[in-house]
Amino acid sequence: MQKRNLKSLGFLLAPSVFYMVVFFLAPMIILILYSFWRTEGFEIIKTFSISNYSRVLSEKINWILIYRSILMGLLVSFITLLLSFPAAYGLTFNPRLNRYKDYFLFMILIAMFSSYLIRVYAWRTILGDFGIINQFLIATRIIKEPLEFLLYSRTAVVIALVHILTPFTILPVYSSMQNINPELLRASRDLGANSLKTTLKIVMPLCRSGLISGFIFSFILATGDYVIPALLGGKSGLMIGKLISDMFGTLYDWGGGAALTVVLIICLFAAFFAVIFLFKFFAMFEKLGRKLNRRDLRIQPSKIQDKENYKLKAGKKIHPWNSFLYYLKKIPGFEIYTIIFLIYMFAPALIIIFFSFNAGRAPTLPVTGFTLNWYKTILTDSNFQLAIRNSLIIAVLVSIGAGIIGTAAAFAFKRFEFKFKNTAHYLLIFPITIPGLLLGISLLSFFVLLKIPLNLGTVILGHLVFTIPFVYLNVGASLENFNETIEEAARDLGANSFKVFLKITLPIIKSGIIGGMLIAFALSFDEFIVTFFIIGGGQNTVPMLIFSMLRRGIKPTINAISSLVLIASFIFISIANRVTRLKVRL
Amino acid sequence: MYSVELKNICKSFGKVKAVDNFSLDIFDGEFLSLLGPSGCGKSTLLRIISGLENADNGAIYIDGSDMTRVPAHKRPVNMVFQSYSLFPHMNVFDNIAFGPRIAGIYESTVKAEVSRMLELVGLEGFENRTSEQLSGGQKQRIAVARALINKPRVLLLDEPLGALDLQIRKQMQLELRKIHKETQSTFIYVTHDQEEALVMSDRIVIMTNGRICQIGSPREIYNNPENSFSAGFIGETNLLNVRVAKADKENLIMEIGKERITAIPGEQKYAPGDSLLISIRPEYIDIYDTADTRKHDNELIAVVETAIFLGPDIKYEALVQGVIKINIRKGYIEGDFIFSPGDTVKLGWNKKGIVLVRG
Repeated sequence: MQKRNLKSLGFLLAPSVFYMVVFFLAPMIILILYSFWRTEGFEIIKTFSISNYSRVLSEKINWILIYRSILMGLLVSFITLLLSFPAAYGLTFNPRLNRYKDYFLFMILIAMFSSYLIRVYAWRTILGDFGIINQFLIATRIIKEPLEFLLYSRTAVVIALVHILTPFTILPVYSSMQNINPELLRASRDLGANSLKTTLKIVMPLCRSGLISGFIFSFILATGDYVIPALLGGKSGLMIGKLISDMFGTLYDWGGGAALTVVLIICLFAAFFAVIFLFKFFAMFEKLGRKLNRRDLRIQPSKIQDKENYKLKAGKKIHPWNSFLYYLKKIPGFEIYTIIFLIYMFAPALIIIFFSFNAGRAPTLPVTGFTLNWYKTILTDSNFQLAIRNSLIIAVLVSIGAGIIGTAAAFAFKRFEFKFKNTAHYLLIFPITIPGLLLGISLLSFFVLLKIPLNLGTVILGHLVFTIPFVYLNVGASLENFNETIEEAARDLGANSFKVFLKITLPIIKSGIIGGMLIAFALSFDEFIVTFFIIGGGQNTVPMLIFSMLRRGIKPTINAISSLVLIASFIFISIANRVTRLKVRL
Repeated sequence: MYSVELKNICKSFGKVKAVDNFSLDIFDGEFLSLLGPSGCGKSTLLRIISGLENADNGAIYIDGSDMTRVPAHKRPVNMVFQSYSLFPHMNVFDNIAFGPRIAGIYESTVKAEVSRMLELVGLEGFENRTSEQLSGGQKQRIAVARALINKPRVLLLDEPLGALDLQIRKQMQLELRKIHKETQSTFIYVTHDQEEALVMSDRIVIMTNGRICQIGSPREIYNNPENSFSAGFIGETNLLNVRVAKADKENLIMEIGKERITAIPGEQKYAPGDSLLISIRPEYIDIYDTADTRKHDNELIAVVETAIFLGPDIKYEALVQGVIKINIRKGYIEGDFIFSPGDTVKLGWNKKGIVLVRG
């Protein structure tokens, strides 16, 4: 029995662990190897040297870009947390909003999984000289000239990064808040703490893990992003990711690029620990302050001894405010905030869909008329047909592969205890936290080193790396509620192991698997950055097509293509959410 | 002066009226219990007093000042929650020190106060424990200490012993009573356990459907229930619907079926033909063999239906005339005779033991 168990554990666990070691860990190591190999012309000389590092470190521009990227990353992750926290708080603790939390979470998933590239493009149409904001401000005569700092600037990069990354921070913050007993907040208020103090002293410490993982997510992804700076940043918004991608692309300096990546990762860690240290320092400072007791100047110790209530005194002092505050509380602040939040999340995509029906050539106001011509044009365009065929092939194969490997892994983790279980778990979910750029260049180095020709096959292998974790998490979540005594009952009633799986286990967790596969499909269909590095010449996918259209100047058909992709991903996520209450725990 | 005055408090959740035009004055320093079945609005009322809920209508005065629109964190009351609600990320000391620290109290005073509180609840030396390292009863004491350190004018306790097992609950009841005596603040205690209310309270308010059913001392409530709800809710009892046959100064004679029951008339006047509800506690009824010559004011022949051994007592259910079910509780000492189902017995009780229930 023991032996058979071990065999089935290996059978379930091996594919996923093997996959991650080969296509995730090995490429990362090879990338590090590359950083020690020199590039001469188009040749890579495989002897150990630190010349890449000395070259990269001596360039002043690299330091400026790393510094700027980390600052931008910190700023963006700070803003995303600031935006996520009240929304998560309202959904968890506000009884009126709490009723709609399922809808809200669904919308967050839509925002998370709907095309990244298209939403970045949408910000270009919103922030540009002829974009909605400038046109509106000019039409209402608030300004005369379009505001130029909106587009091709750091402002634009921050706005778009925050927009893209907020769903990634709100989920961990929200799910850690779910574990807080609302009664604790009431206890805190009852003990004299106002809302602010309750938030600072009770809510935030208790959802610390969610805040930290939300911070890590948005910090890493923001610092490592290169598409947004490339499309919206202009010169002042240039970030390190763009430079690294160029070194692996047009500049053909792989050794330098790899070295710069390693330096960047080290800097990221340093920045991260600096932030953690800062918080620890503040906490220490607070304790120290308590010991030093500046408060004795305000309240004499002797006064406490008489039978006076601390709170009553405070209450009498601020009495005129109480009525005002009482009515202030009736304003549905959280509801208003949530609506603005959702507008920020969804307006860009809706604007694109709106302009796809515009007869005029440019996505600007005023609208000149309704047309379906752009849709007709693209649906008959052979480039688009080819791209969509490729994208579908990739996405279907990726979702099947991820479905099988991820499900097997989820079973192994639920049903078996083994050594290094935690390590294996983190290995399986780690790829989610890696910026696409890093995954792309490491896979590129890996395939090229092993002389594997780049084509759709390598793209599928690459996409599997970041889709397997999602299936694993989703199936794992649906297995969590699975009562194993049901299987024992079936066995008791005479079913053999295979029949138990087919007739009992599979039907119950089917929805979890399908949901995970649909997420994998949507992610793969949308993926641009990883694809960009490992697709090889001559092939195109839909996101690649959109990107090249954006680079070459905007054609009106791009709105139609984008709308089709957005609507398709909306439908996919909706179905996924229908068949399974999607659970993405980050 | 009253400690808490509630004036016409109303609170609805959707269409459900949780608290319905509720008015009550609570004396300074008293231990008052709000007793009622779950969903009767007692916890909602407590939350309205604490400020954690706002009343739809009505006013709350604490120590004479209007608190209706004062938010919870500024009211001079503190609450002990049913689930204790100790902050899981703080140790015992920080939990208890939370209120004074928020109020900006000198830290050395906080320290002294916390140890005084720990002494009061009998948990000296527990400062550095986390809430995971505490038993249910200990958590409860910490919750009490955390509330009391703020010197609240009123301490609100929301079924604080509900999650504890019977042994510890009984011990904690006495302990809370002791703490009440020591602190001399007003305690408002919500419970659905009538025995708990009887043990602890100066006054009991029986609530149903968001309204007051009866107010009184434990003895008044137990011995003189004003209506069928209080009679049924406080303790086990036999409620019998009877009709008055004859009433004079000494005796009130009533009919139930063919049987007659004699009771002492209260101040109210009854005329023959009035229908009436009477309550007889099971422990007031004697059960004995038909051949026995014991004398009681009331004697009925009955047939034993069930006999249940409860340890100190035997609980019988007997049928009079085959339809009227009567519960009897008889003290049991090892060796006593126990009747079996089917035995014909005599039930007897004195007229003092009958309570006439209004309404």
